[in-house]
Amino acid sequence: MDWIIRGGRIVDGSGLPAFEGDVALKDGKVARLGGRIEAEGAQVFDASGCIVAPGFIDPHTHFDVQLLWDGQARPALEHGVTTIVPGNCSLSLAPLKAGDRQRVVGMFQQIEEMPDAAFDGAFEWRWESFDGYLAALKESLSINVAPLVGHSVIRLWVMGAAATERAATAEELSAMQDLLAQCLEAGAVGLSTSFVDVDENLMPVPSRYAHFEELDALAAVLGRYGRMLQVVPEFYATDITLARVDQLAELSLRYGIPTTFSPLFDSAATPDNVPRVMARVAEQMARGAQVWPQVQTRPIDISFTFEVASLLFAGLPKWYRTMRMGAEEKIAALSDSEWVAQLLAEAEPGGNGARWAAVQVRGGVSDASLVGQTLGALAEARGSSPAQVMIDLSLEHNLQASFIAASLGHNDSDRVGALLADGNVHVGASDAGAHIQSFATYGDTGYLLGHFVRDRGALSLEAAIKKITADTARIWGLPGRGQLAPGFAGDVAIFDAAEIDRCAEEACFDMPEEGMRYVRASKGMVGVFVNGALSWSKASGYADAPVGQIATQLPGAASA
Amino acid sequence: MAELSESRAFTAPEPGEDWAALAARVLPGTPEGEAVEKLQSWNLHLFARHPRGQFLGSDVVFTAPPAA
Amino acid sequence: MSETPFIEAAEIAPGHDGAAELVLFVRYPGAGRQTVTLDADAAEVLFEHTQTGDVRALHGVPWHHLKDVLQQRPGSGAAGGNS
Repeated sequence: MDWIIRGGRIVDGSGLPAFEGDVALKDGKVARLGGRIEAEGAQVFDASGCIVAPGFIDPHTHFDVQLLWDGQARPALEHGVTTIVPGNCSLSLAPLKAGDRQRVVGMFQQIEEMPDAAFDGAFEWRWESFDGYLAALKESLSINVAPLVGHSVIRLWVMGAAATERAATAEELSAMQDLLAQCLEAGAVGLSTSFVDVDENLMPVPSRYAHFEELDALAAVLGRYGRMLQVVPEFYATDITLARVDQLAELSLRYGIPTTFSPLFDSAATPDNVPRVMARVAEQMARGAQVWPQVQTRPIDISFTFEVASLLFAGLPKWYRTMRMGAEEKIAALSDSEWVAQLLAEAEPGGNGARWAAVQVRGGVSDASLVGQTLGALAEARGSSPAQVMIDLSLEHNLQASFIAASLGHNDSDRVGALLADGNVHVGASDAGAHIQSFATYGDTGYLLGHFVRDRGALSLEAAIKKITADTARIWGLPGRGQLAPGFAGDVAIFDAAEIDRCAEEACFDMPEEGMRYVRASKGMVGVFVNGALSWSKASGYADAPVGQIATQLPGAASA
Repeated sequence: MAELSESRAFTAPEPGEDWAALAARVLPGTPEGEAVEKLQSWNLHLFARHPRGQFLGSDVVFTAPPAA
Repeated sequence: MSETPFIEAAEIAPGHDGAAELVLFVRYPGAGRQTVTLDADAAEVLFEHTQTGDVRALHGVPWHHLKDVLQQRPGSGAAGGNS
């Protein structure tokens, strides 16, 4: 044996009740589990008082670029995520001709908010084919990857500039089918497409120009390999989402493929959205179609500054009018005591500032100690009101002070908890690695296990673990992963169930050329094994263990 | 196979189709102007995005109003 | 009941990309209703058109009015942002 994970409570991913025992890892895989295991020469990881679970699988990420300079996909790994699916939403970094790179970089920057430095000089771009990209990844991969191939880049490869102009010809369709087959042979887990994304010029990405016949032709190829079709539907309109569910079901039934759409959100503005979509999903699932809605665990926050007019103020005419002024006029208005008095009367009727009290300072302020503080607390300290503090901070920082109104959407824990527990719901849609300069997309699994399992009791621990391990592996066809059982990959997450959570969002400057992104550290996670190697521990941090594998293939022996 | 409940009818645009052509296909017998107006009123989402009011191959185009 | 679809209600909602969005509820003859979601740019054009920054002022706007305003606006993409 290489490792004995000693004395933990094993939740094996099957959904069956937890049990006490050791887990032994050998040659990158689970060798034995349960009871006390003795093995001479094996290293021991003390898991007493902890849960020992299969490593988590995140089915919706955009780590495509980051993996080229950070094979650990930080901070996903420290949250217990041992397998990720990049290439979502029609975008991947292969197959991609050299001449089209800048085009796709623009799309990635628009979607992921990656700075130029993330592409320029951060890695050597020496592939065009999908297997070439996987070879580049594998050089320093510390996390398992099940990559999707993007419909937009397939279209771009075959059609060039016409990819954003017209329908494909029969010859082009055939070429796209051949190209997709090559990617699947190389290890792609499926095809992603998007019905909503836009490029850096705010024009539709290539996949949106594809007629249904094209998607059908590509789904036929997926059917030959039993691989996944992932789509981004028009998640803001129920009737359209329902139509997409029907389209996916049609393809799933015709070709026997799994399909998934992400995201599905709960919203107080449209409370019938989720019930209607889930009812249709249930009907289609009952017919044998595989149409998996992905639901994220975390609530949605809204961030804003006074520099740009946020719709958050659209219910307050005086405020919205002020926000739409030019900068100089706006500063003058916010410095005018009579004008401000009218703003305060509108925002805090009767002097009640409760609506703004929970809004937090997010950044853009000279005094770093203000970051994370609520306007309510600052108002109390300053003998002011929350809205007045917001105005003062904005004026003091030339309108650059930024604020965050947390948990404004997908935030009803009763409704979201019930949704996450639904047997037809696929827990995912984290978007990890995207929107990096807008909000942190890490720690959704910690939030699931902390908020919804421990604090709310919406799911049992066993059910929640199954959702983010064995269920995900089954839905996506990842052999030998997602369970703690002999012969399965030695992907293990060890955590304290009483502590597991995500930490507060923080700005981090760990991108190439010290670019900023928002991250969340893990809380309660103790150790993470990838393919039998200790890849992160609370005690020692990240280990230099390039043991990551392409997760569409059977787990192999760890190389480190 | 289990029966599906009734849902809002939709179609996808065919290559080269504009509003008039699609209207002639899905609402035959209705005067063109009236048919286009109906379709556009049922598909305001196509005006809320770019390119406004033009079809993309992947669009969902409703051929009936929302159900009561 | 109006014979013409019209904006029955409007609400501000959080968007997936961390920005607020404007959700319009359009009522149809026969009592059906659907949502149309606008990003900040589109909403601003609509507010300009109604000469207000108040969502309540959008109530009653007929569908063709909404369509014309949206069709004429310059600039950005659809509400909902990127995935």
